[in-house]
Amino acid sequence: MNSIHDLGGMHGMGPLPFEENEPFFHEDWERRTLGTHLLTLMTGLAVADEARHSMERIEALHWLASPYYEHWLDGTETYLKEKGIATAEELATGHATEPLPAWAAELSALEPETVGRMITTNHPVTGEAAAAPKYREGDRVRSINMNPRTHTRLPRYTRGKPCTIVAYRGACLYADARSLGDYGAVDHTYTVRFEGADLWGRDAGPKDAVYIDLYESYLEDL
Amino acid sequence: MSDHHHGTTPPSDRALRVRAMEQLLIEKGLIKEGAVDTIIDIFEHQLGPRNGAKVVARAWADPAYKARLMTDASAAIEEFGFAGFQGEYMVVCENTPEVHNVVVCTLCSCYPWPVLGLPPTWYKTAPYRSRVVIEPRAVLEEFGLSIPDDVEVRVWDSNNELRYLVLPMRPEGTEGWSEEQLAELVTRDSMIGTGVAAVPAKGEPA
Repeated sequence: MNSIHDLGGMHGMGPLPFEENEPFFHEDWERRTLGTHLLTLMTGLAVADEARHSMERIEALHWLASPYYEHWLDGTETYLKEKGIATAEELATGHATEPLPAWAAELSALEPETVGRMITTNHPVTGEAAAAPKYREGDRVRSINMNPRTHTRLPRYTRGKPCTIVAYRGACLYADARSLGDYGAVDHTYTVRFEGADLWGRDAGPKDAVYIDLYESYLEDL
Repeated sequence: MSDHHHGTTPPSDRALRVRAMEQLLIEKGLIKEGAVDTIIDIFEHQLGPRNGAKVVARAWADPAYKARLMTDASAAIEEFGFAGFQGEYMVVCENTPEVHNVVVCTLCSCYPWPVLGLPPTWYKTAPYRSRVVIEPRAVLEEFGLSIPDDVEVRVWDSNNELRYLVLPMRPEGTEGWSEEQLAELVTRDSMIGTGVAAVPAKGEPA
């Protein structure tokens, strides 16, 4: 969706917030938000793509004015409510009054030791695609122009532009479909190169390029 | 929700909201007491740029390791035991005299946790994410990094499952240094591409 989260190429967002010796967290609620949010994903209450889409739907004015981890907090509350895991009242009081939906009741809470192992273990992010990849390294292609209201990982600044296939990366988990509940979806993924001038015209830097990983469904023949 | 909130103040505060969420999920049997603390402990004490610095130092010191790192970065990084969330599919981008690489996530805040830990605030927020793709040289100047016009700047927008680590150029005057000594020169920003490796002070180490 074309919301405020899709920032690439904008001007006017203010100075870079530099901080010497910055801690990983500034306030305790940030720690607990990171931990609780990750646990909801690890337990199987949502996938990362659903979580990202929940954060994208935060209203722009609030998004811009709120700190980073508040986006996580807002987004987590959104999918817990939408998936029937918690009501607004339960989230306000911290006490359960409603039963879980059957699919969530079947999930089991992870032991702390299991949690630690899961975080530091590699999990597959690729799968088997039905068809062979269509493009090869060196092919000239074009990113499609699309403007879905749903989740996509094709940023606006890269839409409808010519690019070159740099590498084939396998069939990665397909975020657009997973955000809509098709959790097993994968799509061939390519690293592509956009020349600065193709993205920014005469305002591009002298020798600038953007590399980004695009799903095959984001690409068309040039 | 009508007047369900009679007599209670709805949490207005972020700390109250996250406590309520954690408590509720514990009551519903979806998370266990202590699990959130385990996660926090890992992110505060186990993951961080010192991990990535060890990888870079070995790549500088050991050509065979560098070859493995450039071919299958996830496997080479796992040789150190660094693995897991947001590092499952790693790719290393090597800086050279001709090409300077810099990493961003314009859509959210994708970042290689096992080697760099959680990202700094500037990486996650609008000013960096919006500008580094359209005017990388101007942004890098603000980090104190001046890239000559004849050097290509490659901006890696991490938006899919792949995560990127920049391999900075090894500083001059470090011949014969141990991996431990080299790792001291590898800054977080040099592995994002908004910095370069530190230059050794004259005469050190012996």
